[in-house]
Amino acid sequence: MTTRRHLSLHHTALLAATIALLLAALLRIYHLNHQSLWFDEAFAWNIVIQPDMYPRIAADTHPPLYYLLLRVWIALAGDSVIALRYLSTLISLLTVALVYRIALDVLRLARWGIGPAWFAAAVAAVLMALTDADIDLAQEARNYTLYTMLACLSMWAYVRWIAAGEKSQVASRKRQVAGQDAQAFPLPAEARWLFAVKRTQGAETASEHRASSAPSVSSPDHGAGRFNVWLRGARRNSDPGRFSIASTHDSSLIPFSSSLLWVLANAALIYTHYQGTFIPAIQGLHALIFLGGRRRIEAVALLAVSGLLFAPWFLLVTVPQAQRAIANDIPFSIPSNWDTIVHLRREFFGQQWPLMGVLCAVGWIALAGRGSTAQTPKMSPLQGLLSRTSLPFLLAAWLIVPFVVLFIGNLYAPLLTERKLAMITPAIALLAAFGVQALRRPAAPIVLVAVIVYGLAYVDSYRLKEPWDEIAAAPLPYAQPGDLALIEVGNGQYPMKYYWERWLPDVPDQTLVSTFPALQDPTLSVTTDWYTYYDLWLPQLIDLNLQRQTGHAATAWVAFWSKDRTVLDRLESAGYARTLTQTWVHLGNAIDLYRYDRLPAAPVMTFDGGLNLRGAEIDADDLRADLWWSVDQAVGVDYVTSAFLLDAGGALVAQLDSQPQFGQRPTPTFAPGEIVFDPKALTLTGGLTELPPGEYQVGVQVYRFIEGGIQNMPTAEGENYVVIGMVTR
Amino acid sequence: MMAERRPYFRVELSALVAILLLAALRVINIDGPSLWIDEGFTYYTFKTDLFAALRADRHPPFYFYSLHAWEAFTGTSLLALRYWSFLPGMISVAALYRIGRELARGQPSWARHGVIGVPVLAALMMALADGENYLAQELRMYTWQVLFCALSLWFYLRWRRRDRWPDAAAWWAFMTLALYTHYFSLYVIAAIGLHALITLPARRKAAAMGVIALVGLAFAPWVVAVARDQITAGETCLGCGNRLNREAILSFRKSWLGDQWPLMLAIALFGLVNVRRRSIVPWDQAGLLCLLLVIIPLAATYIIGHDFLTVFNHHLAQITIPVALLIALGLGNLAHRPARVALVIAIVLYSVTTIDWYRRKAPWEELVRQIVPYAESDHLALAEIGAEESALVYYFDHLLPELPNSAYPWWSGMPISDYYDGLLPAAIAALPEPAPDDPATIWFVYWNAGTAMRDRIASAGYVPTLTFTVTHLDNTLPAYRYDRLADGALAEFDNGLILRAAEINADDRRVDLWWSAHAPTAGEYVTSVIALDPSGGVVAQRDTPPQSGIGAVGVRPTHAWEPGAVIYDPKWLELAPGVDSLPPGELRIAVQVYRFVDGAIERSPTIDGQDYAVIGIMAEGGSR
Repeated sequence: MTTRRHLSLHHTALLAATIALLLAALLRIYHLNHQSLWFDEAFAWNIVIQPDMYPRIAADTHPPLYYLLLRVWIALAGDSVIALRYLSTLISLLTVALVYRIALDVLRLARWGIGPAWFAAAVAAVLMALTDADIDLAQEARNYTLYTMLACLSMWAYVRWIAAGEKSQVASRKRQVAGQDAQAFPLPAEARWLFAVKRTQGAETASEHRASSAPSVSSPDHGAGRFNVWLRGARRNSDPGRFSIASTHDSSLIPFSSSLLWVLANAALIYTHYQGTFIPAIQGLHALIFLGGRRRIEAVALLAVSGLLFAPWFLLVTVPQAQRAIANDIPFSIPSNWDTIVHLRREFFGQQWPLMGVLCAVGWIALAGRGSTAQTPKMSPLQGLLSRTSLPFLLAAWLIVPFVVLFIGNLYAPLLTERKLAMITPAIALLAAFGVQALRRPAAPIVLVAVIVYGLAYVDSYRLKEPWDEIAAAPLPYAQPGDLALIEVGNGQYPMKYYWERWLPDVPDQTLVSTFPALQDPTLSVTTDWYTYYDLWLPQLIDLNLQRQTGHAATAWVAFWSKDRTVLDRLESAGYARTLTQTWVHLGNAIDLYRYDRLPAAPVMTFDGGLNLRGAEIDADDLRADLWWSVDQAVGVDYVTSAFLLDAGGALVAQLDSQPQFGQRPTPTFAPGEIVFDPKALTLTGGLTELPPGEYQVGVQVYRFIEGGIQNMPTAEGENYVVIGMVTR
Repeated sequence: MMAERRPYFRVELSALVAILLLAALRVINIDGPSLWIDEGFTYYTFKTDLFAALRADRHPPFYFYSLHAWEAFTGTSLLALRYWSFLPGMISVAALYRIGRELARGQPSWARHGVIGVPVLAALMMALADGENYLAQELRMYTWQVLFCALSLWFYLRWRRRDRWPDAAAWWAFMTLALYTHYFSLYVIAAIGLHALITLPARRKAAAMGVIALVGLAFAPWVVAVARDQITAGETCLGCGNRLNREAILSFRKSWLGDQWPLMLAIALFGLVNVRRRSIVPWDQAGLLCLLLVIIPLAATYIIGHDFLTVFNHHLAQITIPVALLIALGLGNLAHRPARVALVIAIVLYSVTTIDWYRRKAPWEELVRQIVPYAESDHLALAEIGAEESALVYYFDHLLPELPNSAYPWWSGMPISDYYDGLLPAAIAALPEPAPDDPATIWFVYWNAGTAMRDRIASAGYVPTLTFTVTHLDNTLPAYRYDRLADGALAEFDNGLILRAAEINADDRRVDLWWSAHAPTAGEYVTSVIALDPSGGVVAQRDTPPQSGIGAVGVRPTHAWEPGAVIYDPKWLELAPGVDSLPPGELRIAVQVYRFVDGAIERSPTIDGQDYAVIGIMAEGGSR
């Protein structure tokens, strides 16, 4: 294989990885704000907007890094839904890129050929781009993509640290045999390969190879071919400073940068999610089993440094967090049973799980079969076995250990959720990609096509979020400054607060958007005491609402999804009546939005047939008449309510006739005493596109259809309609 | 011949035996699911004149006549009847092996590899095909159709290779049998014929067309005698399926390729070519044959399905053969042995853990079994469940004691009024007149929108007294007990409960009570039956809220009884503590009612002031 071909392969692989990144971006950005924020996301938002967010972080169950990052991000990008989620999207793209790098470095260590390594790395990036579990989390304003990305970064840093150690060993041995013929030098094969790859990657190196394109030493073995490439590089090393490998690694010490990256990645990972400790734990286990002598001690020491970096937070915050979480039964989990295994199988491997499982197994076997780090002829059988299983162990542990520990630990404490296992997705992508490569042509492209088609055709991991944005948007056409907005939807109070505080009409101090904090969160309410809230604070809010009343009705909007009806009882005992109900069904559950109005006891007008016009307001800007109807006794007739605009000459200029409440509440459905809100958005008539300047009367009438026409219901005063106000243009 | 086989023959044979054993697992739970509409028709043919039934149906005769012959030896148990579908499924697996061998001849990359060579893989794919697995458990003709299509394909390939007349004769015979089993076998005949026209030399083309013409000749008598009438009567399969739309196509995909369809499709497409020593022959004859076997049925379904409702997965059962072959050929094209093994493992793993073709059948057996303990030979069993009636009647015939049963014979073409205004009233009228100790009883299974049968039952004076239900696909399927009671009452209690009738069943040690009430009672009462020995001691007893513990729809608490409603209340007597067996001689059977007030029993006496009402005598061997 020539260097020119290596470069061609490299460019192809880079192109494939770039396409994978574009695909990943497409899949993650598409419909990014399609669904509403849900509890977790709005909870995170609520933390980072606090002037002092540390008390809220301490009251949560997560470490601080993501919140810090999100706070900085919001300062730059704002806190729209897209902005909040875009941070996760960008981080997820980094994960895809890192998976490519990890694949490449692992396969270099495993002595795979350059072509297969680049192919497998590109496939790994594609598979990661198609991973539904990661796509779903990339569309959430939560810490899980950061968690996954840092797990990748840590693993990449660890693999590079191992590789750097191999390089330093090579350099050390080289010094020992200085003066001898380089061809006799017993280098570990993969170390030779590393040098070769390093050289082929640099542009300067490439030109060198082109300049010295002498045929390689004849050998059927690819390793030997690569060794020739290395030889040419090694000879060049006689020119100090010309090749970075020689100058950088001409020491038995591992470069400080590799160690630093690894330590910082691990610390950042644990500062993002406590279960990030799986990664350093796996690395530590790997180092203890597979690394020898000084490198084992160095690895443990570096892991200890990571731990030390986390120690202050652990001592000051984590321990109290854990105690509080256990005491308040805060963590959520899915049960450890067979159904969960089947669910997680679908979540991470899809419906093609046998194929993905076989690919992972084949990838693992291929990785082990090709050998691993630093094999030398002098190795004992045990050393050889350890060498061959080193990298396979690392990847398998990355995939299996988090699942097994969480699944078993979940029997004793609530630990297991799909998202906490998100960190295993890169391991699946890597092993499956190695499996695809190991199948060789023509099976490899066939399987790759099948996996890509499946990945594009199916979504195996997706959270259906409550439609809080739709619920919050529903009152907007009718809400007015001074309306009370009450949230009684459990943890959905966070997203509802997010939307209502943004969308409802100007309320200077936002005090009229209120909720009792389900999680005892003082940032949501002036009090976290149930009695204080419902018996003291809520009546004050109702008083405030009444003080700010401008029209016929004092209005309260209630988002309701709860078994506790106290808020409704308080409103009703204060004289409010439910005048509108809108329902959204979420996974078989009804989430309601209620409009409550307090209206004067006396009707504005009574119509023949028994309809009482209980209240009427005019929104001149929107050209809308809001009507409230009731009946004293049930009526069997289906009446049409009508609002219209008459100009100074008595000509009709705008009108809307319909059954009450958008046609949803025909009058026979009225219960005696019930008040029905009936907004009428008037439509201009007579070809008018705009209401001409002037004064207009707003009238309301009631009629019904009879054979051959309509029958108007006169008012109690004998008029055909009642004038409820004026509109001036 | 043997020399050619030797390298892989033993290992292939072992693999084939293992695959056949795997396929034999289809027999597990073969009689578990109840019969459904189509199977009900097959059972219906046993209860009527077969030829007349077929003339009114939409299928050719082979399966039905062969099943009748099989039934003469094995009986009509569900296991025996469905086994007739299971057997051809097994032979089809072996036939696919033979077809695979024919295709692999002269193709080293397909023939070698023994256990993962094309012949064995073809048999394996056939054994794993969910469609075949499902149809092997159905009292229908589709596995026979697939078998005959497979055998005709095999002999066609043999005839191509050897050009001997016995192969042509076998090819003709199996094509004819396939056509006599299902009309849609025509697709396979057309595909093979087209393949022969495209790939054979001129002389042999004529021979192939001659064989196919002979098939037509052999089928002509049936066409003239019956099929023409079926078509005239609109009773062919034109109109018995669904419309061809996206949903139908997705259903095809799921049924033949499963949720791993991208992988299976990719492998199947790769089976269209022939990889020979790293070169790819794009238009291989085997691939072409399989392609035609898939395309022609689908195209015909598409064309016919445009105007007629013909789309059912089982109408395309024959494409299981080319799908299995294409996947086998695709795998055979993978020269890299570990890759082939890995993909075979993935396919096997998926197939043995997932079912992609399955019909949930209404649990008629479960429903009828609930009736069994209470049904008696002087009762009548009725059903109004549309086309499912024959499926249910099977269980009436086989599970209930010998009692008359009746349902509108859906498949007979009988005018509806003839049944509802003639046969049904006559069947109801034939029931014995009720007595205080033996009401007249009808069991009525209902799953319909109409109320014709219910109305006839009610107008004959029967009232519903008990309801059993089963659930099927979110539908509740009820079986009602209707009783007609003699006038008067056996006893009346202070709390307003009226004991309308009572029947003592000494053999089952059960006492059946029928209650009604003037008005809902204040509080909930327990009804109790006691058996008293001559000295007045209680030797057996059963106290429960009415209808409690018998699997009926809920408990019928006395405080919720509507005036006029009759509640059937069976009591299975249990021996009193300390009594090992019922004493010989006569036992008085009495009924009492009571309720719990503050943890204590408050008995409601009869209006005669008695604690209980004696309703009869139970003695070994009878009661009165």
